[in-house]
Amino acid sequence: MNKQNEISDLEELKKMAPTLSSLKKENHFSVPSNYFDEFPMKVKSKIDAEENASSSFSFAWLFNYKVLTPIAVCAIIILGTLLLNNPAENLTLEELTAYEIEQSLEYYGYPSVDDGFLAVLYSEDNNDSEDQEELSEEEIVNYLLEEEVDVSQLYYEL
Amino acid sequence: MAEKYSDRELLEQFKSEDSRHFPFNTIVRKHQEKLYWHIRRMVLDHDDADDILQNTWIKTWKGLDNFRADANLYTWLYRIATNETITFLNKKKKRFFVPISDAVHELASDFESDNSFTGDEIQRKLQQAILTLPEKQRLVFNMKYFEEMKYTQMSEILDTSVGALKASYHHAIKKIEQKLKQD
Repeated sequence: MNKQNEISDLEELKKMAPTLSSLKKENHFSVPSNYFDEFPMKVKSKIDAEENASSSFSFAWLFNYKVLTPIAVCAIIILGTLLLNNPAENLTLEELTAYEIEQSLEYYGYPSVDDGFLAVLYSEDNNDSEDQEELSEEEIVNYLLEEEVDVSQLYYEL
Repeated sequence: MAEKYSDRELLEQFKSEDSRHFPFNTIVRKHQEKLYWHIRRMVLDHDDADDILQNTWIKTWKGLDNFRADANLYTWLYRIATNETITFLNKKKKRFFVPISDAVHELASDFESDNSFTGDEIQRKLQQAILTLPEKQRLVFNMKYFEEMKYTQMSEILDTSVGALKASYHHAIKKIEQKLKQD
């Protein structure tokens, strides 16, 4: 059965990619000599070093609830104080009412707006889509495959 | 020597805290080359592959205690190596604020200047074509074409359906074929 699967994979490759199927599957990347002989020792040294480091100094005490609870309470108090003392800085434009905006403009004066700037804003030629990159068909297909979208279902729905 | 013991026997030996270095060492010797080449084909650079392989084995050491003996060790090791490789490649992109297209370009230019590649012109062209594939597709291609894995095993390692893997592989070989035919 395995042999049959191998043969069908080869046949499939020959049919779909004859040039690729004609190439020898060889490894052309080189490796430093004795690398694989020495590698297990390198790993063992690294493991031993990590285990020695973790046994000599530990941060485990920091995760004790008797230590964490007072730290958390202090952090909440400090954060709350900072937030309560600066309410105005947290205000966004959306939170201001129309009346408040009008009052502010009357007090500080209406800003002057360049006619040219307004013309650009309301211009019919102001097309944002020109800045967007168009995706190629290949990029779309790659995206669909990466996200494992069922292409046949998409085709059916369209 | 490593082939003398099965993975199951080595896992049994590993359970004893007094003598776990020997079985672990044997597991490393048994599987290190295949994992190395799996990683190396993705990152190209030997030093990067070496770092990732070491991290893979350190994670294996830490996780072997919880590994279920009835599961496939080789698949599990492959999964760790694959995840470590993807993490490395993603970190590389973020570290230098490299957009995806530039990351591919960077790998391709690293490959151009790589003296450790000993293949002829057509083999070099093949590698360059492989580098143009999106990351996951490149993984699928390498695992199927070079490592000759079955789709069911790839599905376990990559946590992807067999259908999606087949579609990805077919798409990859078509793209590579096109690139190979170009002058």
